[in-house]
Amino acid sequence: MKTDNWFQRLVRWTNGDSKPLHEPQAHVEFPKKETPEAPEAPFEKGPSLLKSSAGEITNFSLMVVSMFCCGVLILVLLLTVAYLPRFGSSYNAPVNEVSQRYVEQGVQEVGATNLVTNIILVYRGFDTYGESCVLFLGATAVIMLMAIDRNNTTKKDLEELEETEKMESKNRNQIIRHVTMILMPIIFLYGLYILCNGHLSPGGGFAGGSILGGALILCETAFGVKKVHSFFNHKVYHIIKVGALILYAVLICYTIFVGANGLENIIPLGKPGSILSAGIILPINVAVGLEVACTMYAFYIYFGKGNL
Amino acid sequence: MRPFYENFPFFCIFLTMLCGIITTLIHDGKKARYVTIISLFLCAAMNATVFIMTAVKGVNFTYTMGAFPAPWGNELRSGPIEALLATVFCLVINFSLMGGKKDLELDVLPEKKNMYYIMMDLLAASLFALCYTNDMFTGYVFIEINTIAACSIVMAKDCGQTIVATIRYLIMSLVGSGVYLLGISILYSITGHLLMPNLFTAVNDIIFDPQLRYPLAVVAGMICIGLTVKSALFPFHTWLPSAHGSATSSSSAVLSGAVLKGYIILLIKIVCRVFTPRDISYLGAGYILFILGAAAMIYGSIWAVRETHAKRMIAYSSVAQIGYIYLGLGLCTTAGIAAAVFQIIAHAFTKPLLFVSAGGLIDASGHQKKLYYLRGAGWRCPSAGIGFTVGGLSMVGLPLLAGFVTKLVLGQAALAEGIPQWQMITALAAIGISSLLNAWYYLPAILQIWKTEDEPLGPNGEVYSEGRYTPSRPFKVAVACMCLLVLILGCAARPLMNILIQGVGLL
Repeated sequence: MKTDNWFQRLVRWTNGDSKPLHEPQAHVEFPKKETPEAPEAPFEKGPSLLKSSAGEITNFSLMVVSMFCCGVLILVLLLTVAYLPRFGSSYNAPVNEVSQRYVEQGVQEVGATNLVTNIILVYRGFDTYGESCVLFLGATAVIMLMAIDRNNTTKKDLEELEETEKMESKNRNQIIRHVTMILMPIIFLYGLYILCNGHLSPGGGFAGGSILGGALILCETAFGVKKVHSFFNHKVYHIIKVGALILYAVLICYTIFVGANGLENIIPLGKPGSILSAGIILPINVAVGLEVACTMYAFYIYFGKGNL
Repeated sequence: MRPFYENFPFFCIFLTMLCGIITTLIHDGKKARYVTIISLFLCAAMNATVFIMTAVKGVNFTYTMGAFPAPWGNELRSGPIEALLATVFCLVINFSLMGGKKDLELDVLPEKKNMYYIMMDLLAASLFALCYTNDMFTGYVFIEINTIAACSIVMAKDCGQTIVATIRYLIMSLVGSGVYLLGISILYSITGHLLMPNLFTAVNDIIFDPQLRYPLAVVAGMICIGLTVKSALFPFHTWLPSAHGSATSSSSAVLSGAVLKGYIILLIKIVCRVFTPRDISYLGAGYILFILGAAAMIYGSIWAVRETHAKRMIAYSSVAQIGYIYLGLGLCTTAGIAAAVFQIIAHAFTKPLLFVSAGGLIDASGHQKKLYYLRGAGWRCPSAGIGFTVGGLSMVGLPLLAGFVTKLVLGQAALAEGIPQWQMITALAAIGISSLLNAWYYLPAILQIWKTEDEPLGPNGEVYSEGRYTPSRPFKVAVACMCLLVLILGCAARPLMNILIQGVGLL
């Protein structure tokens, strides 16, 4: 091979006969996870394999370059701040007809006394619907990555998980259990209150839902996953999550379609300030709340146990 | 009462989102697949209708999302270009899913398959929203959806390499979204608007204000950088080869064919509708995009020449092809932007064709991904071989194929009056050198897959004989359709270019 001149080598390469000229440097071959002696190998070996031949020098120069870039970015942003209009002045650009209408006509047009809810759920309902889809996607992505399957779990992992579960169920702390017993109903009630009063007072679906999710997580820590399973298993989780999102989608779809085509909206606005008012806001808040609670619990349980 | 077809963009977004949500309950991967593919074909039909109606009349329309008009509520805006690109994305995702069927069955676990289709549905929804949005913040929300879904479809093939690639992709993507978000918050605090037409008037008022010129330049820079990081322009491309090279073939095809382009379309809309192309060049961002685009065209090709892994080679070629788009955009003229949009469409069909056919060739060679082991693979799986040949020749720039027209219209745009001389010379040189380099790595690869002389050997001396591998029918259909589209784009480019130039004027 060494005796070839460059032309012969080129011909061989074009014919696909010779081995490639350069092996890619950052190509990492991962050992199979089943190998018993090195179960953690992918993450221990990763960095050392990724290093190039002149490893130390490259790393150092990369560090210098990245620090320089960060420094430049910081300087540029600080300079920009110096040019921005003063905070809170009434001559600022954001004080314009947009916010004026939200403040002056929001209650009358949309029906909720909480102006923020008016904006996020009705005026800009499409954006917020997108955000709840982000939550849904986040939960789905976590399930996709963390759910136990034959690729990411070995028999040994499963046995260990079972053992931990047994240990935990033996040594449940009495104090936590009793305190949780007293607190749980109150927390659930408070979460529901915030959820259902989203159009009247500060709060709403996102805040109330995270309280509900927190309550579920507390329940799991105190009583173990089996107790939670008795009322919140895989099936219930999916039905609540999908049901809530479909309810949300249908409501927002209807509102958008009717509004855009100039048809009459049959959902009544009600009297501002009463609990059954503000049209679609109350059901949407409930739907968002359930979605958020499900997502929080799913994050917790899948990162910890890998199974609902 | 508005004409009914004006509802179609909104229907498309919500149809795909609803399909994604309902797919959670369908545990059978096969049914989930049908739901996705049928909904996407429906969307393609609806978007095509919108395209025909707007292109024939030469108009665009806005669609209020709800009872409240634009600066208060949300708004979609649709013209020929937006509708055409949305149609292209539907088709690309569908062809990729059809073509990558065998790989998907192999790479994604059956119990997780329905989640893969959820991601595809929401990816499509976010791409439509990025095409049709008329609001900077709505754009951001759907960028987020796009990021999560795109990372998940890389991750779906659950092995060490893809996890590392996903982490890289996720970090770079989040940096991009963060910078974009910072850009729009600064823009909001100096103009007080998020809606594009209102921003346009506000920016026109302040662009020559000495006090606000600096923050405005920073905004232009940050929005451009944020979106270029996400669409893998040259210095920010480092995540692309590993993410596209290691994912399952339909993911690679969708990522390079559709996902990268979604961000570029948002950027084109911002360049044309928030600023004007002239403003962007006045603020300096245009020149930066131009230079980086030219550098990407050459750098990506050089790395592709060095690469021996078939899919990574195609991924590096994506880096170069993204450079073509930015070169056109960086010229900041109508012809340049129209050429960039043409390149988006041409590349959206050619690259998935290459990825899908490479997937077929790799399947036919015992899942060996090195080019060395693909020798003679074209005879084992002729449909994949033909697809790879057509795609590769189009990238090289053979006349009658889409890639040639791209180089032609880009060259014409660079030679037009009013372009500074250095830009003209750089553009022509970059196109020439890049085409030569493209030929240097695509032609040997094509020759290798059609090699007949000796029996091809695997790493352990396996022999893969002819006829042992039969591709699935969806694969053949997808490859045939994409080949045909590449040919049509190459032969009948002039009418399309006229529509695109008219469309850029309507943006």
